[in-house]
Amino acid sequence: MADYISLTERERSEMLAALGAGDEGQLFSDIPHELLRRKVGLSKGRTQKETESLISAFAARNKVYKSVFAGAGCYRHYIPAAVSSIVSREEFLTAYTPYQPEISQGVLQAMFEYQTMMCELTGMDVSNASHYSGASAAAEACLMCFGKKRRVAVYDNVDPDTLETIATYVRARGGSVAVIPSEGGKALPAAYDADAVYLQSPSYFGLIEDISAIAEAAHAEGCRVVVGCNPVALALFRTPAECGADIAVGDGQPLGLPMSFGGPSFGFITAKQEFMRKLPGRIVGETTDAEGRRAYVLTLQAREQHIRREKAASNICSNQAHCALTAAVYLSLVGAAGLKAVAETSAANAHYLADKLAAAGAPRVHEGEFFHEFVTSAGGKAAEIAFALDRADILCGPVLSRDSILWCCTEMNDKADMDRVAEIVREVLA
Amino acid sequence: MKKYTKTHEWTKAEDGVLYVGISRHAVHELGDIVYVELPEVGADVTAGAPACEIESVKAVAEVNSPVTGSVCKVNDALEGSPELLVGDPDAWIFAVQPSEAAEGLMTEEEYLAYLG
Repeated sequence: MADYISLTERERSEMLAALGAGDEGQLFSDIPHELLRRKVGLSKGRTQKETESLISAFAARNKVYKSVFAGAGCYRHYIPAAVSSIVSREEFLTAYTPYQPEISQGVLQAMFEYQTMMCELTGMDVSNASHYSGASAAAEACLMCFGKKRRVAVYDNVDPDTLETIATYVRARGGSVAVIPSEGGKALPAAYDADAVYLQSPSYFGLIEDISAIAEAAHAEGCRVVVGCNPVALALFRTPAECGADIAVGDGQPLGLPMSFGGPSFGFITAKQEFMRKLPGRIVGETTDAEGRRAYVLTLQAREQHIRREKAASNICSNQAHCALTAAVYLSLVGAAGLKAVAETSAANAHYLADKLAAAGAPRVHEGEFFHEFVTSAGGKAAEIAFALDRADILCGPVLSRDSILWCCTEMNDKADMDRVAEIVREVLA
Repeated sequence: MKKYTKTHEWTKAEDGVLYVGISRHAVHELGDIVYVELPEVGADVTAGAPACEIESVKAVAEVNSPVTGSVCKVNDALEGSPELLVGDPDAWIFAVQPSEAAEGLMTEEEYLAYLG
């Protein structure tokens, strides 16, 4: 470390003297002696060739499947080559937080475009510049609605990680969570007795929910509606705003971000105008500069935690800028028509696979329309099916139980793949 | 006659209710006021506890109720024009129907002395 700190010996001695310490070791005297690590077991270092060899060996332990039929929150979509080319530009990759608008117009404009696109997708009026993840976005959205009841209702057919995250955030605020049972895999209107109700459409099991019916029931008792959505699906369905949602959130990974074993990704939060001042996180606004030219700035900052401190609505003080940028670039490249094509192909493939699997002895367990995910039975042999598919270099959908599998199709699956899956399933179940 | 709190609100009794605003000192400290989140009519307020928020370019500040009671009126004009608080020293934010007597309020002289 000493080689990297630009201190002279004299400056070091002066500082130690001012602190009344004889040597640097005394600055750590609060740490119990027995906990102090004397030596860090790093090796002497390796050559570039040795290091490359070592790291490659680690990477080789990953299994990268040729065909993927797993979704459950993380989806394999086609990423046009131009995406990574554009977002890897050093102006984007090394840009710092845009607190100084004078030198950050590029980043700020990109984030403003991102916010605009998310509002177009969800039909909402305002968006923040991205949240850490879909799960935390859902949790913060529920907290935005916190009122006298200090209670949030969540349907049990949402992503389990999201449910857990909402519970963590709400309980930490001294609130309570009521889990509402779904019926036949669907969320039905209920009496909520809560400040907000959270549902996901398509649900964790792939079914399309009747958001309007839920919104009507919720609003009738003064309860707000937060909807978790799949941004690709939004190209096909009525927007959450049109269906009566107050806040629409989700995870942005499907928009041009690779799966990368689970991350990084970003969460999006979009809301009706009345929630603008309750929106957590960073927000970019459009304005004019002193010479009347259009300019972008971070706005509503007095609400962020570095200024509002313990009274802030949230402790988030950053965003997932590069991931949000990637999504904005992806959306710009595929366009509305392209995104719709991705959604249509994904849905068409899923429906094709569902039919083939039913014919192979693994029918769907739910009724109702689905987007690109669905659950089938597995004749009690879900693990065997997953194993057989793995041997064929195919990643099976998550095994939910001995007798159920959550399948997912995207535009990346082709007919031969899907036929092969059905064939293998038929063999296992025979 | 206006009476003042230690947290820079003023009150003025009129028609049996207590009108509440913020002092010139508070306005000066806040800077450009961009938004006033008015309380709901009917909301219960407690003396010394936050009743609503004022947002300026640099901060969000709470406005404490000087007295315990319930909000009977709010100044809707502030919704579209929060800057009214800056220009008019008598601009009020909300009015309270007190359920208890107000305590610990200062006269204008005492408040100016308190500001030091």
